[in-house]
Amino acid sequence: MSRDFDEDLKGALRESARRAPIVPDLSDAAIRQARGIRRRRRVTGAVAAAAVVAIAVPVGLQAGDALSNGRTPLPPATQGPDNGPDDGDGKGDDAGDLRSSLVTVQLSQLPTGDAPDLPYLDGSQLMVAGVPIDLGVDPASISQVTYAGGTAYYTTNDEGELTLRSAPEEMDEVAITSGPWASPDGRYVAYSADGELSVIDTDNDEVSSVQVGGDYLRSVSFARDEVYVVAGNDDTLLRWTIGDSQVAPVPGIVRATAVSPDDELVADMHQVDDLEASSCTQVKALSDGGVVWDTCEHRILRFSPFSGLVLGANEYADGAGDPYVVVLDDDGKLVLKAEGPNDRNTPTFFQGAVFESETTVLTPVAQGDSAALVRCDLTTGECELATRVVEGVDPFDGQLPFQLLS
Amino acid sequence: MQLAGHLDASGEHDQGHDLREDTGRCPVTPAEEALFCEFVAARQQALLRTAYLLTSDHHAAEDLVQTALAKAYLSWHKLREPAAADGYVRRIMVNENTSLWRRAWKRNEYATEVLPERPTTMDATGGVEQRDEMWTLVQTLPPKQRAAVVLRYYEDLSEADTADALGCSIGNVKSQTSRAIATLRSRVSPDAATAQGGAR
Repeated sequence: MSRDFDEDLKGALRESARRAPIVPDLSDAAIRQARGIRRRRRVTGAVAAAAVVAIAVPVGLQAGDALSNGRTPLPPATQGPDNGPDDGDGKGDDAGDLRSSLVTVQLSQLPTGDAPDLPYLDGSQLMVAGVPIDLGVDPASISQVTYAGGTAYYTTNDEGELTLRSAPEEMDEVAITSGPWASPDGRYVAYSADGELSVIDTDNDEVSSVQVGGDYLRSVSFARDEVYVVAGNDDTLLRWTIGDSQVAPVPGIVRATAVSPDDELVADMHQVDDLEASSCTQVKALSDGGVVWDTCEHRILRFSPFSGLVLGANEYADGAGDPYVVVLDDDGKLVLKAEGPNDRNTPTFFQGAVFESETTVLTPVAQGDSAALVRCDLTTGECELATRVVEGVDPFDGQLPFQLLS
Repeated sequence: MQLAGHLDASGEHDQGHDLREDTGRCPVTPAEEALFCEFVAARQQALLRTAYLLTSDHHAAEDLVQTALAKAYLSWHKLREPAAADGYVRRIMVNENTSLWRRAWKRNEYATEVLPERPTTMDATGGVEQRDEMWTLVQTLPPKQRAAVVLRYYEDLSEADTADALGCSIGNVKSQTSRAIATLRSRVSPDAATAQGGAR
């Protein structure tokens, strides 16, 4: 490499690029794939319900009696403006949509799938690509974990005193009030202490801080280079550009429950005085507060990596978790609902579901005295075990043996 | 490509007839679909080259381009600046590839401190293929650094355009690129590391 380094690099890239595959025109394949993406995002009411009969009956599904991992049609999930039957806009006209609308999760009958792609907590071990990182603490003391830049950041809770630690690379312990949270790309880790929000840049270990006015932060979301903070004292949504000297409140937001990674949408929950629901959520444009869609049936937990889908659960979590999780599309229409069988003796709870990818969801599930991580595929409408099933679990007594990271 | 005259803000097309309801499947009209196909025909190979630099794998590159095109197709009817189509697809492609890092963990395809074996291909003069060595080193970079290098040094994008493609700040592009170049420099075989210019 006797020539200029930049030129060597450019030359190497140009030369390597010539080895790119030469393939037939991809437009047809791309269009087919696009239509497949659209299809699985659409589930609608009347037309769909009629269509599913033709599908469900031949394969033995019985109406009102969902089999293990079986699928039955569901009514529209939300009260958005496009929630009616097929309105002629081309949506919801594909019978195949419905096969993925409802999944009944029964741990003992689920097939075993691949291990999670995402890091997860197994007792006191953080599992990353099958490699355990031993956090070396009592699992019961771990209150929140995240993973960024090759390091696990976690808090231990000693009678309410939270301490931020890290492994395998050990940082100086920090007394914190809430956190930690990591950015989707794993670059930033945030926590709060003494009324300040602090963000560690794992690229260079620099820490940026800003006053946020409250000790406890309900959540921190990263969207591109913006950080959104829900301040716990009054649920105010604050926006902060890392490095700025102050945060800015986002007007018109009552209680933000999720911000989309593309920095465009926010899920805003508000109380209602209604016999049918006590709270509703509006998905709004961050730019102007315009309502994109709303739901009074589910609360919104988080957006998908590409912001096209949301994860939701029932309006209020039960003591040990949510009785179901749903995935809704960018119109608020139901893509998938996963719930346990209707069995009072073996209650099912879902805790802390996350998107593993744009097409798969991971969720810890407790069922009776069993627990496991479960993956649901939005393209097939089927769920599988992503970990072993652990017996002897009491979901009402402490956390489940498997936890997905914040 | 004659994109500009077709994808105008009014949504009107040469046929004068919106076929969204006729197709019953996707909010892309036949006219828009034709433009999409025209775009793919014109830009597919260039996208495949970039995808190959991002993935190092023929099948992965093809999958990446196809997925990016599929996602672009879904929003094609919203594309009001046809000149931006290339950048739009590239951005989807880069983001899609970067998001795959999580899945790559499972396959142990993440960047590692342990370098792969250096290529030993000899060139016409009997020396080590220096560009193969550089390419081998590029493949060891973490996904975002690698994307920054590909966009800056292969696509020749500005820092601002690279930031747009990566969905991050210009400062982040600078730091990613700087770290990538520093890594590449540190890993270049000692006997080849001579008289090299500075990174930009």
